[in-house]
Amino acid sequence: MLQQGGNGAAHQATASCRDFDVQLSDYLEGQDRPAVTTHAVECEFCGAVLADLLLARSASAGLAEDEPPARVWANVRATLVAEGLIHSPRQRGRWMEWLLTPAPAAALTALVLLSVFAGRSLIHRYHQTAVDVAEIVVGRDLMQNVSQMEVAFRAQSARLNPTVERAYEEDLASLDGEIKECQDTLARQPDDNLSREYLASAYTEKARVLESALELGDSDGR
Amino acid sequence: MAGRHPFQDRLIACFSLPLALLVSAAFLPAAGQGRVEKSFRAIPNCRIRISNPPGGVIVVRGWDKAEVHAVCVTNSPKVEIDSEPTPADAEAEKLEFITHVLDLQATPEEKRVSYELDVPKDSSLMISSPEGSISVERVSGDDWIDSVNSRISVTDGAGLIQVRSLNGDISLIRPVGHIDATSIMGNLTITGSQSQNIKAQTESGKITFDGDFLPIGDYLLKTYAGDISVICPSSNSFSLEARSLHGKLDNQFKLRRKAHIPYSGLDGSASAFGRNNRGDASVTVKSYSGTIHVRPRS
Amino acid sequence: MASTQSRASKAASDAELIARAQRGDEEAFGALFEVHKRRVYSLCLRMTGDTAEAEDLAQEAFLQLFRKIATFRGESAFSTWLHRLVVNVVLMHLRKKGLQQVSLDEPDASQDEPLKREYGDDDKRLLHSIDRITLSRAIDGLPPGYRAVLVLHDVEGYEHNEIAQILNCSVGNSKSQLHKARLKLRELLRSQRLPASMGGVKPPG
Repeated sequence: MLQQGGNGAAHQATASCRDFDVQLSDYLEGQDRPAVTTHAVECEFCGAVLADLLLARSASAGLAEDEPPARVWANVRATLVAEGLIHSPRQRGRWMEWLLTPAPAAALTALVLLSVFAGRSLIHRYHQTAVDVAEIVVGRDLMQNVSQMEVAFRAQSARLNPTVERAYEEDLASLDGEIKECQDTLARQPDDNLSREYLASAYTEKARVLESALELGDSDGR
Repeated sequence: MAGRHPFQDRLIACFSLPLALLVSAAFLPAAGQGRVEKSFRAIPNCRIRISNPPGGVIVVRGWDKAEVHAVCVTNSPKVEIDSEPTPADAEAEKLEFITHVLDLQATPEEKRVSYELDVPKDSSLMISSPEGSISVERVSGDDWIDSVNSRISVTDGAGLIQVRSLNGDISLIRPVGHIDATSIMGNLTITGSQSQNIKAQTESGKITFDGDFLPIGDYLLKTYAGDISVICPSSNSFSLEARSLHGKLDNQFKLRRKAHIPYSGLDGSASAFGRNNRGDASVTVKSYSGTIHVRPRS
Repeated sequence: MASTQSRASKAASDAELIARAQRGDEEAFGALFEVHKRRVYSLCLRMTGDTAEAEDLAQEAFLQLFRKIATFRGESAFSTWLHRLVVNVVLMHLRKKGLQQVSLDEPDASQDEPLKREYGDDDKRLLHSIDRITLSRAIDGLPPGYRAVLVLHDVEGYEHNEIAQILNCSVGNSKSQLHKARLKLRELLRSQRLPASMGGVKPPG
């Protein structure tokens, strides 16, 4: 075994060092390996390896946790609201308070009476409620984005292969059908979570379909 | 040959040559077709991208060689294929095949390109081709496949399989890796599954799952109007949440009641919640108006 | 005793929050987020080494959690269930990025071939201390496969049989990869070693 020279000549690994290397992993896994601890005392190089690994392991276990930025929760919350998975008590609270005051209660009663005798007013209110619910579930931004993408798609759909264009049209029609069906259900049953989920999902899918169509329209292979 | 009338011999002689020419012509590019065949040395887990906007037939097969062998057939000289290995002068880590349309007035048929590739089996693939068909076999790297109308089939995929075909049917045979499959009107069929994580979603297509629910797996099968059929061994251990809002539900497993029933906030949906055996895997099957069938494999 | 009591009371408060979240209560969602946000984000950060990716992944993990909270059966600890979900989200992301990962399927050769080492004078000097920033930087510098095993085992406390299931490898491979990861980490720490006077974690014993 070569000894460490004062001028920095290399120390060659011995058979004991090799045994140490072979058994080190098992020792760190908690198994009894006297050869490791004995050799670590005798050999300053292997001793340094062992001490460093123990230190690093201890430091890793004690690593403190990091704080995420506030926008993480803001984004999560916004998505959950859009998907209708959470109900803000504040919204319900506002509606409940409003309805319990005399003037709005009286106005609502009069409106209902008028609607009974004017069928058209009732149908108009039905549609308005459906749109309101869609905005709450999906978010106005997404609805507007989808609307704009649809306009862009119609403007350039002629660039697509006719069978591909037809496929996109069919998909969009199918998704519009889903959206209408969900909106109709929610107009009658605003607490229907499955309809909320499918409404949000249909809008998201519609956005994806339009995005795919616009990308394909741009990449014609040039 | 003995036993044949001389007239028969002349008949055979008259037609055999043209017949041979006809058969061999099937393997030659038609008038205007171009055929390019190339090989590239590649690392075992090469990343391969095929971008084929005009559509066509794409076949990719995994093999044991450290090489990508590509055969590309164009229908007309109005398209061109770029193939780009990176790095250019050593075993490729990335390979791109891109179809370029040279004449925008070309008909859809003239623009079509077909690809047939043999790739190292650990390769990962990114394929984008709106029409035609896409078939991937025995590739154990990750697959991202995007299409509009293509029929897509992935067999023996072991990596992450992310597939989207808006109107085309998607068929996943013996998958092992994670699956994320989406269609709008196409049907999704998953057979012989040993995957631990599946998300399969279609709006009006059907979903058919015939495979195993692995113990720590997570499975979501969701349609809007399409029916869902789930078949698995009765020995599988899973926790099922199945709901159809306006459709029917036919569950043939005897489920044990769970401690926590999910909140539905809804009356009238057809639903089934509970555990089969220990309830290890998490299986969610839902449809807005489709019919759901869940039954043990007989 | 105190830690058992605090774990029990934490489990009870989690259970109440989960029940309220299953009913769609926004405040319960917010409270669950507050309780678990640091652990989730830190795990994402350590496994990716990138703050922007960690933010996106933490968001995705919480969204998946809240979408699936109705299916939580209460048979395992909520934090275990959440943890598993976060690890899956991160691993899916790493796979999508197509990172060149150390294959965890390579045969365990560590017992067959001892490392050949030659030592210079420098190699007998101990690290003495490791501050948090140096350690985090070194972990970020590990190849993705090593980083995953080391973070899961040494930082997050998963056992090898759990890591084998999560990373789809054998227990033997998990152990051998962890050992290699620790040796590589030591190399990285030594290459960016700060003076002992900077303070930090003292060596054990």
